[in-house]
Amino acid sequence: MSAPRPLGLIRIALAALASIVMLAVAAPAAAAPPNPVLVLTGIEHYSTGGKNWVRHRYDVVNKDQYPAEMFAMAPSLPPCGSNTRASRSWVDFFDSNGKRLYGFCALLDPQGLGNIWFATEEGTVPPSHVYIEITDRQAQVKYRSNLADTTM
Amino acid sequence: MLRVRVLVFSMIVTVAAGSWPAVASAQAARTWVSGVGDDMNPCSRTAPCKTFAGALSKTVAKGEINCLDPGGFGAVTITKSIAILCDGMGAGVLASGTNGIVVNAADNDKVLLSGLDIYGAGSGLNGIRVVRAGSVVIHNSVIHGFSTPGSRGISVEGPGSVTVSASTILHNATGLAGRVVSAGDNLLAGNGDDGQFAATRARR
Repeated sequence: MSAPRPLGLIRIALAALASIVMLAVAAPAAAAPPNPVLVLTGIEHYSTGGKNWVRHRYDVVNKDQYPAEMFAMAPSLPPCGSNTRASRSWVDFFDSNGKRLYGFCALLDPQGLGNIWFATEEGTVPPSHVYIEITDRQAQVKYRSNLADTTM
Repeated sequence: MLRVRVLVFSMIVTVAAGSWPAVASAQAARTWVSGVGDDMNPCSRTAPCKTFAGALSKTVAKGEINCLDPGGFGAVTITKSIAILCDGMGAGVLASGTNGIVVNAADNDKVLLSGLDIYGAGSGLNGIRVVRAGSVVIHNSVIHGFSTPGSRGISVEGPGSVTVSASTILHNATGLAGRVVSAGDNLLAGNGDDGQFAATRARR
């Protein structure tokens, strides 16, 4: 068994150095999206179907940290009812016991997280706290928010 | 056969009568709300509710709702004798697009509201709207921001004596509407139309 020649050692060192440089200059891997931070922004009253309703409006204050592709139209994934233009990620409201209240399946943009809501019939006591789950149907990952107030 | 029917009927009546007090006993004479409470709770001191509406349904007529800490406790419609006492606690009722507190009770019901901050956020309808009651006393409260045309700080629209003391009513489209008696120490200013107290009663 012969000892490696000096020229071979230099080549190996250069290759290792090049690898390190390439790793250093390569774009960092995209950070995983954070859990949503949900904040109540307003309450409004409206009527429809002969009933009076209270709409609780929310914002996801860290919505800018979600990549646009997470909410792009995803015709290859199962439709939302008859809507074949559903987005890749769906957003659902739940009360603190995990009962689903409402959902959005076609936001198409992370900025849509700034105007999400659920409604309760006027005169009924709403759940005291709610949270949302963003379900990335392609990556099969769920992002769950904090519990947010329903009264101001 | 008749005896059997009578026996079955009496058993049904007994069971029904026995279940009614069980429902009524779910209400407490004193309940509590907290900014971090939950209306699924029994509204007790250690498990408070989140809203006045949630607590009201768990409080007996002539009972009392207290606040444990600051919070937004939501709009409420009062339909029975009740006292809501939250002095010094920063008890908020934000009523954008709606009424803050509606009193629509029986002619002999008495309502006491004390230590509330009722805010219309520029779009509320009425701060306190009295449709019907025996008497309503509003003490140590602030009613403001009901500034859209037609909105009122306090609106008395039906029978019932309404008395206000040590309270501030400002920045509303109309401060007072209907018969409202002052018991002194009130600030009625900065409203589009202040309105006026129907009488001033000396505090004893």
